[in-house]
Amino acid sequence: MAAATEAAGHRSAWRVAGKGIPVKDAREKVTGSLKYAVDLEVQGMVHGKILRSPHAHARIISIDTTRAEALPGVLGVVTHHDTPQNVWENAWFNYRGKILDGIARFHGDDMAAVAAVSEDVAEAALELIDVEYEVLDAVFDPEAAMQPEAPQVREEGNLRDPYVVKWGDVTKGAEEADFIVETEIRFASQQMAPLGRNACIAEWNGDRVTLWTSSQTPSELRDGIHEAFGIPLSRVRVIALPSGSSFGNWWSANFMLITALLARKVRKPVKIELSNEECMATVKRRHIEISRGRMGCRNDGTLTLAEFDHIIDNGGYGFKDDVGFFCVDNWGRAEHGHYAIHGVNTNLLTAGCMRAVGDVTLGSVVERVADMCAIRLGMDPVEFRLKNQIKPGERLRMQHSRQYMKGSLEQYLEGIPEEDRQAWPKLFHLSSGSTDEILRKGAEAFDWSSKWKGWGVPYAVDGPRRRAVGVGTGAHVCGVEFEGNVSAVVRINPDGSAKVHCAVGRQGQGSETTQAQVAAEELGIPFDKVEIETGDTDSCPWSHGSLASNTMYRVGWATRAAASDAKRQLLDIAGREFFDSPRHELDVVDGVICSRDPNKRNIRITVEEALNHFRGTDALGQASSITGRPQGPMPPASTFARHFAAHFADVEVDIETGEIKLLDFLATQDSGTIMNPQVMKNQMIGGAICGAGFAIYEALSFDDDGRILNANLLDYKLLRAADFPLRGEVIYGDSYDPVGPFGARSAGEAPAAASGPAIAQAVYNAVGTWVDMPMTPENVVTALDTLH
Amino acid sequence: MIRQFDYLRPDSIDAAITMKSRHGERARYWAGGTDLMLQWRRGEVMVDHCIDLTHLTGLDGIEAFPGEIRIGAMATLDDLDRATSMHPVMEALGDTARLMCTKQTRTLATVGGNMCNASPGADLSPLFVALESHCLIQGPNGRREVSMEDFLTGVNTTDLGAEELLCTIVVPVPQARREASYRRVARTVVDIALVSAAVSLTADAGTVTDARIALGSVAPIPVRVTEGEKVLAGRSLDDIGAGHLEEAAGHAATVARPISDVRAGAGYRARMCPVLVRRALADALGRLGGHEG
Ligand SMILES: Cc1cc2nc3c(=O)[nH]c(=O)nc-3n(C[C@H](O)[C@H](O)[C@H](O)COP(=O)(O)OP(=O)(O)OC[C@H]3O[C@@H](n4cnc5c(N)ncnc54)[C@H](O)[C@@H]3O)c2cc1C
Repeated sequence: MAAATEAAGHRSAWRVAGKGIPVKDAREKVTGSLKYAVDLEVQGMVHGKILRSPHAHARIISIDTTRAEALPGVLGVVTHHDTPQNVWENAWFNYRGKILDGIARFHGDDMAAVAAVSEDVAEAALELIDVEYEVLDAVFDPEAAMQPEAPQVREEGNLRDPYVVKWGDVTKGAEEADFIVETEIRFASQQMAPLGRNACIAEWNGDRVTLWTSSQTPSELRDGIHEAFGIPLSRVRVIALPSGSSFGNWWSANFMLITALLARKVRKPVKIELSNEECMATVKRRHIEISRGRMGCRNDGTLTLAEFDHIIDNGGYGFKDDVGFFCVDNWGRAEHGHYAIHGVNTNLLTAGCMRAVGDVTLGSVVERVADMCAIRLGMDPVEFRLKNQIKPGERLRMQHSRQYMKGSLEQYLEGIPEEDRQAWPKLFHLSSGSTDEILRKGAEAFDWSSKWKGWGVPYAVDGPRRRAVGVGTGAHVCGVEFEGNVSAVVRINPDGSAKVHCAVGRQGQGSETTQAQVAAEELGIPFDKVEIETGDTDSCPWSHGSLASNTMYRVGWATRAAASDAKRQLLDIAGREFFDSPRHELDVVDGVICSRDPNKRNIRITVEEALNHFRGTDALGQASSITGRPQGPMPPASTFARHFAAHFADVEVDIETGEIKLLDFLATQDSGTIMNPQVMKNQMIGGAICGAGFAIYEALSFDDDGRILNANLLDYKLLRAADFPLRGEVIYGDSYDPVGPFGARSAGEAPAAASGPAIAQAVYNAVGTWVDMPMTPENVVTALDTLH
Repeated sequence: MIRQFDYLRPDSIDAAITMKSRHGERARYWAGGTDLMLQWRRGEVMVDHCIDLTHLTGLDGIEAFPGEIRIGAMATLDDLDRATSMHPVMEALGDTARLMCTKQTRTLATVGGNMCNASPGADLSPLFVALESHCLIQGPNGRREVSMEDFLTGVNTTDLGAEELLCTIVVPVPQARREASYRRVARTVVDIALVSAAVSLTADAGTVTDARIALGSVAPIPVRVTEGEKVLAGRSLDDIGAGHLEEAAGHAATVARPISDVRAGAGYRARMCPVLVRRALADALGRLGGHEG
């Protein structure tokens, strides 16, 4: 802690880190010139369209493409008959399947595809493909799908082994409790509802393939192509473009692999561009989740027991057996606990990790049950959280690496020298940050103590309108190391500029800017001399990309380590050639190399001078540019790092119509150092809106055949800016992370987890009963009926 | 999918009608395009000839005449919002326009288009019905008038003949004081009404001489609550108590014929009718000076 405080003291000396620099692509975004995949064309490109299943569960008995192929302008059709039957996967089993295998597992599943000279022709050709289906029994309800006699969605069976976290002894936890409260909540499925569409272009050159698509996970897509086509990774190049809002939708998607398949078949570049409806009904969604749980509590407000059983529906191609669930850690002070997660397949659209996966849902249930304890005690919910939520240095409860994972923690740790591990934070203990400081600061700024009137008590009543406040908290991981560690490359060019190569997404979260800030600060060169490549897998080393709140913590760690390595090399050269000093006496400030030795204060060499001087005499060209990369492994982030959010909501509920209006909202966040407060604020408020939307309106609606009825933004209700109260301020905790770059941790997911519980609690306080999400006018009215 | 089409720009109403007559079924009038474009892209309508009305003169004004206000079919929702000072009933129309779409869409979307598209959820239709409005229509055979109640015939259907053009919506403004109000339940700030109610109350010398109540989004076309209207008509403003509003509103539940869809359940819609009618009545009554307002 002392070291962290000391390190935090350096913040005032930073020139780039922690500054609200405008995002690098602001001008392109505002003028509309930034290229997303839908905007891109390559020479000679043709167009692809996907034939989609009209059944939720069916097997192709026969497929005849003769008529389609005969249509003028059609270049080729692919079906499961000419598709390699290899399985490809998303990170953490968000998707597992073959590109085409002749089986439909959800309504709208990919069955075949056509390439043609235009989208029109391709679309017309789809209608000429004659398919005979054997319609199979389908299962849509996750609990029904768990039954042994249920229709089996996948050959591996519907049900994954439960993922269990346990500590202490729940029987004892129950005995030690003065009272136990329990509840059950069934959640609807949220849609990522990207505002932009996506496209993929694939082009083969001989046996090498290049893909251009909007993606938050460039490396993962490269891996997926390698798996599905069985070709070496070296023959796959992915150029990931910005995606705009993604929230988990634009990881690798099967349509991208189909594009590659079509392009290989017709030996021309092919572009598949999804419609809005396809973006919302055929890619991904949040899992439908059902949660039952109970907590035991003593009369002094100490939790003794936490026991939750949670079901997640994976849809057709998800294969997850766990969902992270870092709310467990946040509320993990109870001495006894048991959490079981059951992943199950259904014949619904594939579900995948949407922003704050699990912590939005199970997190809401844990918060609800905790609130029910506080209600029994008549205890202020801020106080109850302060008392029962984890503090730095305490044990984390999520201790196991996951089943089926490519790498276990034990494997990860193997071979890491003991002395390297000495410097790591204590594994399985929270390294830094918590909700403590932000709850206190937030409560004060929100004037909580005067607005909170007690449980179920509005602070104002005006006819049918009730106003009340609520608080909610959320936590999430800071990236996960399983499946591979993270790397980055930083290159210093002979003119003193630098280029960062790191695989991250550009989903509006500003990572192209914040990663460049990390590199510029570490290198000591001006920000505008640092550019970044985030999407080209030929130059960016492997990384999970931007998921699991990986970007700032893990990629940022790698970027800083790479920059540090490059700087070390630079200072070695400068020390030898100009200063006659060891590198630790030197530093780079604003692009100028200088010495700490008072006698050498007059020697000032720009980075450009240093490299150019050497360049002329460097026959091997070793210093014509300097390339840095991390020299050691990143400590396993999932075993000690979390980020936290605490949100405060002020709502008005109309008890006659059930309408909920958000009157005021305050987001607070503990993410260690804030690399860029402007970027961060956007992300915090965006996260709050994402969680609030799920709390009030957002829900995919399925018909009896598993078809999505509202795959459009007219009837899938996202909160608009005008639905959300305008408060410019976001409050940050002051913690300094011991591992993350310049003390920074991750940020993007906890806010999506905290806002729903805050609003749900405020609604409870306004009307005196809990309303399950989504708290639509209709659901509010129905919940109120049960009161009377 | 939008395929090839001919873009036509008539220079008069007559020319527009002639074009429509010539090209038949697959010719479409284009007003603001905010409904048409979506239907066209989704393949719900086929358009070979797009007849652009946006350059026609004489269809876009909102003008006061003795005893009536004439709203040109090509007046935009934004124009409606800016004409509120003309008369108290225009205030209700302006308030309603502001609930609709977004500012950007309101500058394109026309009042006539909202009527001709004839969505059961259109916000203006119940209010026009409650305001006793009628439509001026022109076609190959000349002009005719039809009340708004008869103009709207079903889901996306109107009384318009294939070649006819809606020119004007006439909103009567009686000598006596008339106040109107529109209430709806929607989800986010940009949404189609889940259920709505419009009322107008006319009072002369302290007595309600005319009451009109119409519900939206609970049937293919706006539904009049005539039994409810009777509760109030003829009553003195001072007389009207909460019980009367409740009673009038109560009749709304019996005439509504809502459906359940992805937006809301029929039960919820039916249940909201009396609530919204009561609130709209209270608004209008309040503006007229009644004490239950
Ligand atoms: C984002 C968004 C939000 C919306 N929100 C709302 C809302 O809150 N409430 C609501 O009620 N509506 C809403 N709408 C629907 C829409 O904006 C309205 O219905 C609009 O008023 C239609 O007018 P328009 O000029 O765009 O009609 P167009 O799309 O041009 O035309 C609609 C139809 O009417 C025909 N037509 C148009 N004018 C005439 C005429 N003079 N004579 C004969 N036929 C004609 C056209 O041929 C076409 O078939 C929304 C739409 C969008 C895109």
